[in-house]
Amino acid sequence: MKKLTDTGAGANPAEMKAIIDQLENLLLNLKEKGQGMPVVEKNVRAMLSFVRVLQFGISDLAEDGS
Amino acid sequence: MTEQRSKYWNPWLETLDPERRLAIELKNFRQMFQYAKDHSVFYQRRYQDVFPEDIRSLEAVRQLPLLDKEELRKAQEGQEPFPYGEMLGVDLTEVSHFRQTSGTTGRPVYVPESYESWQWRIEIWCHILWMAGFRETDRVFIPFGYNVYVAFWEGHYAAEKLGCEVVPGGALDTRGRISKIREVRATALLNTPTYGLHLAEEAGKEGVDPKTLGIERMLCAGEPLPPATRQRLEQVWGAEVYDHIGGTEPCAWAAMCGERRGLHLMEPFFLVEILDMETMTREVGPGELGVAVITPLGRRSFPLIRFNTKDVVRRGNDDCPCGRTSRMIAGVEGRTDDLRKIRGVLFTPVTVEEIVRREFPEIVEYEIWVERKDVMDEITLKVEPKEEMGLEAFQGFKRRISERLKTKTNLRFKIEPVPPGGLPRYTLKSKRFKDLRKG
Repeated sequence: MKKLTDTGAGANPAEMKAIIDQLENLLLNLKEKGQGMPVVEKNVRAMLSFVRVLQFGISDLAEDGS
Repeated sequence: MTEQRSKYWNPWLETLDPERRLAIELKNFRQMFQYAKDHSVFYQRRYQDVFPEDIRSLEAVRQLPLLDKEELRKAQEGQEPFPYGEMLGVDLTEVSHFRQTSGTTGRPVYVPESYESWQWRIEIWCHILWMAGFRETDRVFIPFGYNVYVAFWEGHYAAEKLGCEVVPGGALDTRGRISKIREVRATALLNTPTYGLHLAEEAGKEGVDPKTLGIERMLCAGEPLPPATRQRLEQVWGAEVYDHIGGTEPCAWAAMCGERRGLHLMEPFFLVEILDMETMTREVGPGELGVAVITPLGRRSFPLIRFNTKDVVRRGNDDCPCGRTSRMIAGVEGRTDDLRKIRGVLFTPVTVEEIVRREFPEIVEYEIWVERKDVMDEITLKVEPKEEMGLEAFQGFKRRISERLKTKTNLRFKIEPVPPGGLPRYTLKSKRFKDLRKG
């Protein structure tokens, strides 16, 4: 198992960003498929909010060349 | 397998190189600026002729006008959609949290949060709690009914997200709360400084030493926390006590780490400007006082561009041994709203709190009254001493505190005793400063 140091040096921002992008795409896809179903729409909305937090804290830094 | 934990909530964000952090903040500022123009009637009108590509530096940011609370009120009062008016940055159907300011300085401002914006606020609070040492092993007691006020809701949701166990303490009186802390073996508290002291005082009356209740850490919200008050809380609770600063409109924008020697700006969640009090155009340096101007950079439901918090803070040194690279403030000195001229002398109530809490533990509660008698301003410190203080001891105390106040504020205070229990106890924002002068 990779060890995460205090500076996050063991983790790869670009890899993480790619996964966050996939998550967003999967969720948008799910939202489309479940259109009109509150159980899908509302849960996807909540999950996309968390994805956005990850984009702010992780993806933005990867984009910026971390 | 031994789990290895980071001491940072987000090690990349918290140890960013300052130059790179500023570049990220400016990029996010431009994005938020465009978003606000596209989605809020207020900003469409305000920035008709300004475009994000014009904002490439802090100097360019400073060309934009400051935004104050009165403008937020005007943009809401009588404007659609009710009750948020022209400030709203998302469709009304997306709003899932209603919050409002306390109304201390006028009509309250209504603050909408979408689910997404709320999560953005909570994420900042996760940083704050993690910095203050809150972990999954903590049982966090919040001794309030939170009502529509934001800070304890943020603390509640963030503690829950972090993995703490949250015990809400509304609908109990103070004795009930003390008993609940003991019953559930709470390890952490979120409260106002005033209420932290009041809880300790009430515990003492019941013969309970607050130190024996097992509280290891306390995060304060809702009021300024001068160093003397923080140390007093640490002393009576035997716990680590942490401060943070924020507001309903801009969110929490600075907080203490384990070093407890100032507050880290929550960068890059915000573009924070600490500007000189006279011109509000120059960024102040370490040791100087300035006013905090805040732009939240990821919250879309209620965009704020250069919000003048009116919080007066002292800029700190950016060399915290914790390793975080964010800029720092040494502490909060008060609000420009609270700065008063009394007999020609500039006065802020925080100075009195600092003296009272640091040097006069025999004071249980106090209030400052400013009145005009004929043409002269008169300032009175009403003090409620501990019950055991006799008349003779009070005379000595009165002389000592008058001298200290005169030295520190250059004002002569009238000292007036109040019988035990005669002054109000506060749970949320205290109102100890009363300026009763007309005009």
